[in-house]
Amino acid sequence: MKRRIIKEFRPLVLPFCFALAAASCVAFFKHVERILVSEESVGFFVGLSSFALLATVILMAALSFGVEYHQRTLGLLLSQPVARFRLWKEKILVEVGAIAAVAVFLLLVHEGLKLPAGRGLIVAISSNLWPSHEIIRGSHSELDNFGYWILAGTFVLATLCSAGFWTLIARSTIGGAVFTVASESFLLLLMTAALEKLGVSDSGQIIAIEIAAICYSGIFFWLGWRKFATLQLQHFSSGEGALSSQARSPAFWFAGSFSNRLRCQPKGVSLNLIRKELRLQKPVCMIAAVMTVGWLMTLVLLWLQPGRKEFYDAILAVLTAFYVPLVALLAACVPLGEERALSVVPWQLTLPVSIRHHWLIRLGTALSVWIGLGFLLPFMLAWIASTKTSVGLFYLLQDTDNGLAMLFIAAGFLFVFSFWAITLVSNTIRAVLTALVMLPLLALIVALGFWFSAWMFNGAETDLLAALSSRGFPFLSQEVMWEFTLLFTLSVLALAALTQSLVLFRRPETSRNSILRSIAGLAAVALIVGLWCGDLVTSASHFFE
Amino acid sequence: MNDASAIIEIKGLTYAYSRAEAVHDFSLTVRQGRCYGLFGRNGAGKTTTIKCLLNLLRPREGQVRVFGLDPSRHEVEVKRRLAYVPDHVAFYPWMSVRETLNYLASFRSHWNLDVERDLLNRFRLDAGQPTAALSKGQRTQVALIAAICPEPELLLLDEPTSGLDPIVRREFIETVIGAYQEGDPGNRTILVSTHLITEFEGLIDEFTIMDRGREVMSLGADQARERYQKIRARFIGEAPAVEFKGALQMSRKGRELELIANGEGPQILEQLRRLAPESLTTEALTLEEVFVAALK
Repeated sequence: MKRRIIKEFRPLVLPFCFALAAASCVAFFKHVERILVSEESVGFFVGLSSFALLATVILMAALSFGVEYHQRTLGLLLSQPVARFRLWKEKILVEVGAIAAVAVFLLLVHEGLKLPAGRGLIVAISSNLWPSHEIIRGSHSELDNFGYWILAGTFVLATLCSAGFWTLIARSTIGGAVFTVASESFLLLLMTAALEKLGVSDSGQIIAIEIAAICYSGIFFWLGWRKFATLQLQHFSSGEGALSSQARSPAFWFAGSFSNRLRCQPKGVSLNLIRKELRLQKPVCMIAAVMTVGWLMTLVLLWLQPGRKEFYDAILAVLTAFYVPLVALLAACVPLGEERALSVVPWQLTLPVSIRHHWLIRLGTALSVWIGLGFLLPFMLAWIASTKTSVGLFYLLQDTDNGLAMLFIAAGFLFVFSFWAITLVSNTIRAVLTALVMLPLLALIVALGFWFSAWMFNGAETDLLAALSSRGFPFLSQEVMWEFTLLFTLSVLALAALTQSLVLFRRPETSRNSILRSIAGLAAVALIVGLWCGDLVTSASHFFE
Repeated sequence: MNDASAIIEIKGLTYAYSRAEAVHDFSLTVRQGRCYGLFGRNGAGKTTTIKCLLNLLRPREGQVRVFGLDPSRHEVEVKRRLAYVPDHVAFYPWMSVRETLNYLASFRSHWNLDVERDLLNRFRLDAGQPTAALSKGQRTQVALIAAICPEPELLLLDEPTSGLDPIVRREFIETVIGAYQEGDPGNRTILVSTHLITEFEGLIDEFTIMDRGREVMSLGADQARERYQKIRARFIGEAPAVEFKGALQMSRKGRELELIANGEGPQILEQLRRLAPESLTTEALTLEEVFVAALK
């Protein structure tokens, strides 16, 4: 029993550590927010870390079953002389234990930092997925701390109870997580719209939603167990695209004539490689479809209930905030992650096509999918909604602070590092987490470089700036210098990551040493760039003074 | 490394997975038109060696040449002239057999459609079936078709018969592989890695036995059969407890004495005759028996 529990916990270790780190960040930034005067910028980091925390909780709930599909061990597990109910129970127990430990840790850190109890923190967390503070529309003060904990608790309960069922249906972790969130969100959306129509009061809505959430949890917990108890291992297929590969039903959105156009032909290597890459992007397409349905549904409700514009705006904003980074992360790493899950990587590498050609096609296709589905689609949806409300990417376009460009750069950076990470690690989930860990790590190293540069060089580039200035070099001003150093840092790091990914792409498997070497290499590049850029900024301040 | 007709030349190959050395100072030469067997127990380093030939692994030490070219420098050129059947065959599950073959054909300048049709019929494969619904043996069959149809100069087979039923296995070895080599006699080369040696007995021209990443022996098949002999002697009374120089193995069962001779057959026979046996017979060893004897 003990060994099985350890085995069940093993795949959750990485997201569990990530959740603990995110929980620490939530509390830390709340603490900083409390002591700093300017709360706006810190509030962004509170939101970001609470988003990461919630996403990891959902991932952990889906991972227990998803990992069995990914590692193709479900057959082995089910063939053991142990009752299915016991296997199911152990999985659920480990999930509950891991998520409860994260919650306890969050509370302890929260208490340790003596943060103001309750509301702010819980709202920050729950509002990302479960827009509770928007549901009660400005009546936060009426809801006590206990009420917020209950809201967050019901969200976690519903996720825990339904994730198993959805993962077994989707036969993949990402599919399971997306369906879990989508089903909860759609139900919540329809329910609040109906309650509003019936004229139920705010507090009545909260009670009704909580009762519905408990019923939903119970029903899906039972459905999940029933699915597991009657599970049959038919046509075996693993990986994140398993859902889309299993069904040939005409009801399935991807089937039909479009799918036929993506069938490989006996001629045309590049076209066939592109077709294959597009087929591997099915999980991303599936997420895009879910997002589109959610968006259009919200829009219809907005047309029907214009009085609740604030609420629906919040939902559309949450959808965009979730969707854009998620697609950037997944479009980059799903194809290779999928190939690794299917064990076709070594076979692919023996085909007579140059690795660079294959890598370029993979990068180009992933980039196109990311721009198409991760940017143009939400932009188009926001444009459709623009007759009623200015929200999402359309709102950012009108933003005077180049919000859309900043979002594009940030999502692009996520894309590049996710593309880099999948050449290092064995599966999509690990690649996403690695990319998410690497980004703050590199930012920290660049910041260290900046700090060290002032201490080590103290404006050694002043002569260079003077020389450039004497030759009439354009864009030379102190204001531009910050933007230049930021873009330069991002470009160099992205280039280094892409170069490493090309080198690693040649290898069907990567050892722990090569992973460490790659990370160390990127860290060294980040430090050098930080040092140089830091000195450039110091030099610029000297020069322009 | 100057053999002009050598299709594969490996010299001093060493490869390690982290600290665990999988292949150590291994050398091998496969000449054009030969069917070469790479024999070894599980984990002997056969697959690692083949992966080094395909540039899937970079050797830590040593030199690898395929068609006289370095696979790491002339990757596409090398892969264009060979086909590989891996030990674990995996395909994209959404593709049908037809689509998988189309996909693989698009990488090749030549694809024999008649052979494809013939093999699909022989293996009783439905081209419209999705690969996700194929059994392990059927997936291997599709991989074999995909390897044979481009009619490459070199066929690399890594445990090709694992998962095949006995009828298909025999068909594959006797008909498909035989027909492949006869299609262009003297020019088509096969390197087959397997531990199911009996099945390839009649096809193998030369072989190397590997153990724990090292070469144990390299011989021509006929040479091996001449060199390794099984000698049976039957005595009137109890078999004598005598030591025989050059005997790899010896077993005594009542009146019978059985020996495996390693190149010293005539001397052992002479020594046995002096002991006046009731009967004395010799027979050549099968390659599998040579393999077992060499590793024991």
